[in-house]
Amino acid sequence: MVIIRTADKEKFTVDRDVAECSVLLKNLLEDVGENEEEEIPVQNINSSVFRKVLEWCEHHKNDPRPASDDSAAEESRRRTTDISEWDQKFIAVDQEMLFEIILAANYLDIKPLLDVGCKTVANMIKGKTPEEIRKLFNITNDFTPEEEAQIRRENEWAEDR
Amino acid sequence: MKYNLYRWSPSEDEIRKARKEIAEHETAIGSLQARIDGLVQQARRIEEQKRNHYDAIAKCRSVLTLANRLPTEVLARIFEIAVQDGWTRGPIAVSQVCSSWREASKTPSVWSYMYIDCDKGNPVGRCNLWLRMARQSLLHITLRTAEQISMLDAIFSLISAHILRWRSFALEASTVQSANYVLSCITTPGPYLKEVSIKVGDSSLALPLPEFAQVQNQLSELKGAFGGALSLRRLTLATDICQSWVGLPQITSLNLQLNDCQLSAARPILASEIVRALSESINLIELSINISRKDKRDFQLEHDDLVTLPELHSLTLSLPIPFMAFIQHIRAPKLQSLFMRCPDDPQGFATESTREAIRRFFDESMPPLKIMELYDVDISQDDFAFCFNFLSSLEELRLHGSEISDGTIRLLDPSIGFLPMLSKLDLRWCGHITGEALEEVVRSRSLASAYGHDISPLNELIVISCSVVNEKQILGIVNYCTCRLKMRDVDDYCLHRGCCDNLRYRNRFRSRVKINPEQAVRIIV
Repeated sequence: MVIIRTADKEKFTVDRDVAECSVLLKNLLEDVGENEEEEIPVQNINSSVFRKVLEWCEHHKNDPRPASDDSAAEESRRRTTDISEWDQKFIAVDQEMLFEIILAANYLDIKPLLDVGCKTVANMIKGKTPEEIRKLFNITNDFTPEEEAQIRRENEWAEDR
Repeated sequence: MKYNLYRWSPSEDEIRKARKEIAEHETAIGSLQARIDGLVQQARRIEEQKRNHYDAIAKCRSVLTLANRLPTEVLARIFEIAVQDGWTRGPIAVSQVCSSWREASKTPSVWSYMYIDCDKGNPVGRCNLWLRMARQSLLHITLRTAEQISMLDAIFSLISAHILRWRSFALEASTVQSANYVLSCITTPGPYLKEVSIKVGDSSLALPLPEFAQVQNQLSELKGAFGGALSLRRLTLATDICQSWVGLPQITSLNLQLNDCQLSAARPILASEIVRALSESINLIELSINISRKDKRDFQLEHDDLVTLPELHSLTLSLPIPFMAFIQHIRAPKLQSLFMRCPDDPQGFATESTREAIRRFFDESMPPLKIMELYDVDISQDDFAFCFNFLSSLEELRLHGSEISDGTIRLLDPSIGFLPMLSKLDLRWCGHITGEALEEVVRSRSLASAYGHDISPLNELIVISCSVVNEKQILGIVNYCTCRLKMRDVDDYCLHRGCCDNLRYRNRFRSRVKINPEQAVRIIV
């Protein structure tokens, strides 16, 4: 077991194999060795998000770990846009939590979880116009008039299927 | 006497009075209208104030939203996933959302998926933009040929200048001739090219040409174009006729697809022509042949042409059941996965010639299969017994729409010992198998394994829409193995077909059956 402390000072006691889904935590754990007393701080993640990430890691703890140097396997994994039923249910959260999970997975270096998040957002934006995407994510159009003019020119050759 | 046109006329006094009253009402209406106008203006002003607040909220939310605060590399990853899934307009759309998304969209890999339809819009301008933005990243090119050769030439000279960076190339052409024209222009593809896909025709109305014209219908330029692409591993060919198919020695994965033909009088599909294409690809590890069940053409096995694919590990035959007999032309001594599928065939039961071909395949190839799937392709109980005899290494058996009987399942009992390595059994729409037989086989194998016999216990049993397996028997089964009442999360052929959702049954099971915590771990409902 290892103890992990989140940004809001909450402590989580976690199975080592669950924590090692995260490459960042795995490396930190290697540094502290077998000292189970030592707390591992994850400064950029709040407890509510970390709890969600742990739920994912617990479910996937026995999955084969992606090798960091296996670019072909990574490409193949990323090219499959399917998300498993469990992961779909797991990621059916509000937008803020979805992006928090993505940021946490990126920070903790959990590539398969990052992929689940990125695929979910990709599925949300696919086929939408820029205006529809802005509305979906509450994004303001902050382009300068020059950029707007450039965008209009780009649209001339943005012919789709 | 004065003639009066009307039955009655008002007096002068009445007329004056009425006019005066009208004028007063009109004045009142005018003043009311002025008040309304004032109020409408006021409402508009209030609406505008409200809108301003909404805009302010949107701006504040925009500050709060994480969508434009994600790191550039994460945004780029999201865009790339969306684009590679066929959203060809994606790079343009995301680059127009806001400045942070525009910045992320400049990542070259986002532009590495190029879709060029020579007949639409300004393909040269589009092509130039994509190439400029993709910079030095590897390119996934999809080219739809044009009727106008000049446009095709212009596009091709642009993309062929970057041929050393091609990662995949997909060609969509209306005819074999136009596909061959493009292929003839390809020279010296680079070391990164891994995948090629050629799609010709694709209309179910397209009628295969008469026999005398077939010679011109081979993708004859394919070898010249990609014969030197030493890293090329995956080839997909989708054509109207199998005479078009050509193989390449360096590929390890081949997907052959025939477009649907509704003309029964069309030239038959000849097994020898498929064998010829396969003989040119003898290093295959994966092979998939797809012909629709609705294809009306005749299939001729002709003579005993054989192709030995010494490295083949995975074979998928999605064919009308009579065409499955083609398997007898293949020798695959290292085959580990065999998938035979003919979804929705109302008959389902394989003809004698197909069953004979399957038996012959097992007898002569003796493949060390680990996974076998028969999807709406049923065989007799004797055939099962015959095949089981050759499947001593089988780990997973998947049957969809099978009449497999209790007697056949009992062959898996340790006392008989067929399929000693079997650990996963997947049964769907198997209406003859009973829960008692399943319970007995999982129990006996589990005990035999526990007592050290050389037989694998069944670790997972999938039971979906098997009408004579009841809830009590399922609870009995979970004493010995995991029992799934739902599809696999991934790698499940039924996922996109929806035939095995089994939702009502699963809901009923959950509400009716009390499961203790130990059972809950072993039952996936």
